[in-house]
Amino acid sequence: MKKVSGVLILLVVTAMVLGACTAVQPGAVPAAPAATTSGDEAVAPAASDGQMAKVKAAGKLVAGTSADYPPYESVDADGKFVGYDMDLIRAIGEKLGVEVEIQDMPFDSLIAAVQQGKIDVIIAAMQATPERDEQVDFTIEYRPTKDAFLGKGDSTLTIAKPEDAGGKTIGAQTGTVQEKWIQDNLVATGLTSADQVSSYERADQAALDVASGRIELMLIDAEPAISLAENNGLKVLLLTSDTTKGGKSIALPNGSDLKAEIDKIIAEFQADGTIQKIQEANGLP
Amino acid sequence: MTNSEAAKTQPIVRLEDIYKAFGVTEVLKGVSLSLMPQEVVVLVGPSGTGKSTLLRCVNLLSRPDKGRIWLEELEITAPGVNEDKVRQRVGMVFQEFNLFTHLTALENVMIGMTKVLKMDKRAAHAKALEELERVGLANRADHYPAQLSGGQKQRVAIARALGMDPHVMLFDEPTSALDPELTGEVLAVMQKLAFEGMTMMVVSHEMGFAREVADRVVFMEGGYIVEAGPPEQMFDHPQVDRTRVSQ
Amino acid sequence: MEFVQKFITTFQFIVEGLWVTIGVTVVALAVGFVLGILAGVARVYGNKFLAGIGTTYSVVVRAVPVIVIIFILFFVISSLVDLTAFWAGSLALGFASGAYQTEIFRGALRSVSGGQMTAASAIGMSRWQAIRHIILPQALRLALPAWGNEATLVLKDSTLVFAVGVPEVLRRAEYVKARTFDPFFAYSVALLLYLALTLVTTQVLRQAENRYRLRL
Repeated sequence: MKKVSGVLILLVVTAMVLGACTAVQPGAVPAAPAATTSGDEAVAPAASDGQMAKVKAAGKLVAGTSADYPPYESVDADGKFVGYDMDLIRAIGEKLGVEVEIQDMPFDSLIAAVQQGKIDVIIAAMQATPERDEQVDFTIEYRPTKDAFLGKGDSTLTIAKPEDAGGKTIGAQTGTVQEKWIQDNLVATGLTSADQVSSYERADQAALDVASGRIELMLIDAEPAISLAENNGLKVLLLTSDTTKGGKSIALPNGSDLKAEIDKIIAEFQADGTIQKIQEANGLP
Repeated sequence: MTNSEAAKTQPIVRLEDIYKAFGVTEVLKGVSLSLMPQEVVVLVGPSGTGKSTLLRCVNLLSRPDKGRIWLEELEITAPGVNEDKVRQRVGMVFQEFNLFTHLTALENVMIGMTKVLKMDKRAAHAKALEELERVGLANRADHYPAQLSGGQKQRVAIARALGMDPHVMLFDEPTSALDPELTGEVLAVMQKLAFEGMTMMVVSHEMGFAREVADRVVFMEGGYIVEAGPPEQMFDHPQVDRTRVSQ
Repeated sequence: MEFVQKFITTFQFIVEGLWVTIGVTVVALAVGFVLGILAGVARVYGNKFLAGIGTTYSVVVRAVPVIVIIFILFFVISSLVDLTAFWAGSLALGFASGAYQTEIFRGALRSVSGGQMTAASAIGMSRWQAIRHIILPQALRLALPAWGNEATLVLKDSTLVFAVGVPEVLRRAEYVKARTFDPFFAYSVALLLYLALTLVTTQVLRQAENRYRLRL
């Protein structure tokens, strides 16, 4: 089974590479998640067969994150992973009776890594979109989501509703739901031309470009937007949940038996106020 | 004495009806030649007449298209003969020296002994020094090729070949790449080798050397041996009218 | 004073990634060296089949961005053997570097004069012995300048292994930046560290070049 899935992945990824060579996507890190879609059925069982038993046997849960997204996940001066997501996953680990090991990697690598079993779960302020849902399983939401449109500190733009951003130069982080929203709702509808949209490896790079006036707007998750805006002298032009679908969830390999367990723990945490405490400890509303 | 008498009856090298072409150019057109033990044969003739190719056939650096070659009792052109083993018994000296540039003079002489003959390092070191002594360069043992003059390089190359205890030595225009004032030291070493009884096959334009050292001079032209004989006869009383033959 | 303090704290944090960066670079260079020599020798001295393998490897891998190679290998390797991110990332980077090193060694092997092989054959060396004792030692010396250049490129490419989760110098700089929202300090420190590493590498290789230079 393992060998077969290895060969499958090799084939799929090779196809991906060939594809990438013929149609170059500017600024895009190779999209591993997209590559494994067709190999999904073959991969998923290998990665998730009795994941619960595997985690319990190992005595540790390897949680993948992309630790450049405070206050959800970042690395403090002592080199420790801190933030809302980190506190939550550690609390979940405690409930499961296993240790939690954090594995930092680029956001774009996370889904492929969980499919390959390099990590057990993803906790990275990740939103459960239908596209992602095909490739991984999501737990119930542990936190609802809002997005923010940010502009320069002295911006005179009025963004009353998301569509008002049409026709403006705008940026978002590569591989995020915000980037996809821009493509689906501004570019595809013709409100914004494709060359007005910039994709960034990281959110702070987009913020720097907004501050310098290279782009007029950026669309980003609401909470990091607030600290990002403060630190870069940006203005929050609109806070909205119209651009979001669903909240933040933990991702697992397709078919993992760990999902039910973690769902239960999250529900418990919501009921007993643990979530509330974690939220406050990390300065989130 | 009986041993060497017996040995003298069998040639060290015997070439029989050798043909060789490079593409459409026929270089050797049926050449036969034997080399007796301790004999020094000098091949002379205009350039491009196959002298060097004939020489390179003797250690199989060039494979004849047709014809047979014996090295002592072994037919080296027979199928399945190990070329490397053949070459261990045949020393060769090139026009361009071809010293190994990354090795000192001593290491140049040693490397064949240690890597090919699998000699012990210390024994090889001692023998290599002896060989350098033999060509008068023991004091240059630690010099790299780039630090040696052309004549010295060629003497190291001779020592390198001698280190393998060859049964016959081939010299392919050993002084042609040298400044005239440096040819003397190389020819002197070759003369000494001949005097010590080394069997030698030499391609050279040095007529003085041929006259003084050769037992036999072989004149080649157009892929054939035109005439062969002792030097006095060849230089003073040639039997063949060369212009007629080269028609 | 606050500036200095801030700089020192940032430096102390980021410098911990130095060993990871050095480790990845050294492993990648070593793996690339072995692959490069093998494929280089195969291309110049191998039979049709071996030369074909060497050529395919070098041409295909060089045609693909290094990051893609790392990605593919990480997921292929990791589906076959359980390797840590460090090893998978380093091996993948080495696999990519090997293709470039193949070209370096191929060029160097080609520039060793033909007379060297002839002379080695003439003292009875087999083809393999001649390659190993005569041709390669000279080719390696000839390859040193280009190889030194490749070493600094691999050092810089070592930042790419973060794609599979290896936190090297640049990633640690990003941690600082995400935390402090101050890219200046974070990237200055990273820049200084890479500069220092590159200077040390070039210096060491220059010494090696002087020491082993082929006097022709």
